[in-house]
Amino acid sequence: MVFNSLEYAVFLPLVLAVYWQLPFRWQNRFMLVASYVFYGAWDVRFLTLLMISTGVDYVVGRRLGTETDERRRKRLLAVSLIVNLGILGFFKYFGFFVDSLAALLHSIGFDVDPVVLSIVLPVGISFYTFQSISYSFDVYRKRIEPTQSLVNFALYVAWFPQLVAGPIERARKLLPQIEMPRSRPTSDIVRSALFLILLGLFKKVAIADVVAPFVNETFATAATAGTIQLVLGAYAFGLQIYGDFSGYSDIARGSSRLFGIELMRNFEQPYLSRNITAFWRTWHISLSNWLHDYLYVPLGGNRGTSFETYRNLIVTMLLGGLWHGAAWTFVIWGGLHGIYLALHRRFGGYAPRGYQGRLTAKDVGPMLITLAAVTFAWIFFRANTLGDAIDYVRGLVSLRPGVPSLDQLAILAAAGLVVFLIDVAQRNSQKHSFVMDWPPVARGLAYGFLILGVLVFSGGDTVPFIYFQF
Amino acid sequence: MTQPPRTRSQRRWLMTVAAAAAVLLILEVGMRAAETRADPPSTWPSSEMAAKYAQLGDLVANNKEPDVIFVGSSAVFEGVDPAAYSAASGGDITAYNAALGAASMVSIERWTIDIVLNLVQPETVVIGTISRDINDNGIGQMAFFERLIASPDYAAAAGGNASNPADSITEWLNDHSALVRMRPHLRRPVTFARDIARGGALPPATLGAHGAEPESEYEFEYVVDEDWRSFWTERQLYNYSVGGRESAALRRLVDELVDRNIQVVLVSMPVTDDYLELLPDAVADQAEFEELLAELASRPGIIYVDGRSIATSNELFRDPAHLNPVGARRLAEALAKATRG
Repeated sequence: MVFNSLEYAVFLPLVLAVYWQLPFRWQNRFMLVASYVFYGAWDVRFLTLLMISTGVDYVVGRRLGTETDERRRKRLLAVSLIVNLGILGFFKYFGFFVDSLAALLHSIGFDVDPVVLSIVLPVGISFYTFQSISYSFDVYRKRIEPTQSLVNFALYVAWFPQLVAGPIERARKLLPQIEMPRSRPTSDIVRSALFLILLGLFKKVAIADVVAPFVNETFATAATAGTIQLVLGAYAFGLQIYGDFSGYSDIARGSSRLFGIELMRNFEQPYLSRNITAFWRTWHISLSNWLHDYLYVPLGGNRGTSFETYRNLIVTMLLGGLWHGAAWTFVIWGGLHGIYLALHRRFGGYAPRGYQGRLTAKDVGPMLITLAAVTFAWIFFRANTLGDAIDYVRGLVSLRPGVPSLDQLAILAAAGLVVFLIDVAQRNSQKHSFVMDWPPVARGLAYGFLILGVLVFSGGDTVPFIYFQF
Repeated sequence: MTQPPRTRSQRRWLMTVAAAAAVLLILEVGMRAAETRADPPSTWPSSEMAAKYAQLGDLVANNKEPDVIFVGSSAVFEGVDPAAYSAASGGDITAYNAALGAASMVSIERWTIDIVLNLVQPETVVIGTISRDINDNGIGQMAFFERLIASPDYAAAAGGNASNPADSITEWLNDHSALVRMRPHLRRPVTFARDIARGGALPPATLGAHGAEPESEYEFEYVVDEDWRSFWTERQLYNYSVGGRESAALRRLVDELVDRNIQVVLVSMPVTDDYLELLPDAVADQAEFEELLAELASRPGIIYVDGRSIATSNELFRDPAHLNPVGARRLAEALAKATRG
């Protein structure tokens, strides 16, 4: 079941209506069933993996809570890592390594048939395994107490608004909200939640899906398309993936807020960032934080020499790239960002955390340079194969003639402008539901515009969210 | 009983809703006005497809259902003259050229089965094809297919009723709102603005009689230049490979026609040596293509015609993959002879 479908438009109000009629002790049980129904709508078999991951980390968490022997505690953590990463590795990376090994052997003269094994990637597996692992890690590090309730823990792993594409929530933030009784949201909270859902739908339907055909055409014809089209195609993909993923996160946050559960912000206007470090603090924040806390810091973070810090940055981003999928294109994408981050750390200085401040004219130059670097890396992220990506980059420098149609240019310009305006409004107000403080008429015009966008650009087949494949 | 006075919050909320409704209402009124200057757009992948659908519908309405239907890509659209076929068959056989420019076999299959055979019941279907039609990696071919299956006009013509609540809602909105009807226009804002300024959309493609290439498009002179070569190597024959979904579509189409007891004629459409030179391996690739057709034609009741043996001179072509009107007549006459004895 996807957010931009009629099924979800029926599912959400139905679940809400029942949920708020139930006493607290039944709410979590009901939501667990609803979350399993939501997830099982893709393929009931996938539920088994979700339950295995849940069961293992629940048991590991409880044992870690009582175990004092450090060696045994490490072994328990290893069980969690082996099971979760084992499931993830098998379903996500098995084919990649088999194919790569076969190609390597072929290159040195040994022809072997790779094992032909068609493995379906269960939707959302990368998200919920990371969320489940973070719980075991945090209990191991004694940052949180293990939960005693299997239902509550299962709901933490399977909370349907963020189950399939995040945000990857930490147990210390989400579990207490699940374990505590929730009061009915006020009318202001309901309005802000509905605005987030509408904004997310708009970003998905009227931004991401609108530029998608141009992106698809450009990447499919990279070997022959004109240079201007290739440049615009890369920027258009940046727009598409941002609209798609941040739109999903908005709908997830809005939906969850209606149940009285607040999810973390996953995006904070990343394309307005003045440097690449700031970009990674505002793009897919939940994954960036996860990689920082559970990979970069254990690797040594910035506690060693400069060289070790650069190495840790690059290794973290390489693995972050690999998290997205088993392909060299993702490895290169991650590697590029690792190099960008190392270069910024070496030459660009420090980037303060937290609010980046209102956008000013002097930000435009650094912002455009950061955007160009990010956009270049998107080429590798989007290309189907490494060969396609190389064709694309060759096309960029070939100065081939040919321009997109005026209709395509108009749509791209409008989509870019709207995203820019939304981001500036959010940045300046420091609120994702930025219209809440506007005068009623201006707010109404904004609602009307968003509904209009959804109405005009919907109607075709439902396009799945890009991050579902990860 | 008096109503309690509205709170300030309720008034602000009502103003918000009214402003949002005003945006939609103004656009709805605007689109109703625009509808008088530019009709709701066709969603067929090409204007030629829309015109052929309309023309076939007219033939059926006037009890002039064709006996023979030609299907294929532009090689057939430009390469078979239905009037010449009828004349060569003695005049009592009517033929219609239902081929589609830019289509490949996956689109031809769906168009033939879902649309053409939904409208007419011919005795014979002539499937003309060149290797480009079954190239699995051709750029543009798959995009054409995706546009076809996503087209509401196609879905409606294929007889698909609203199969789920979402479709029913869309249908209802389509019937009652100009804004919804005109959505495809709004997705092409520059073209739409031009249509409005012009006072209407460009006229749909015109067709000659029975789906033939319109006379205004006739080209007689054989032209093959660098632009043509690069267009074909970089798009139509890009990363040439057969044996996948396009060949499978051809097999399914033949199977379906045989199952319906329709006489199938498979034609390897004429091409010149300049075309074959564009294939990665001219001799082997063409042989592989002809073997596929021969294998399909080896089944009982299927007639195979080698078009290359009929049009052997470049004078019969307007470019290496398309016959000119003289060639189209020549091939049509040969097909009439082959299919009618």
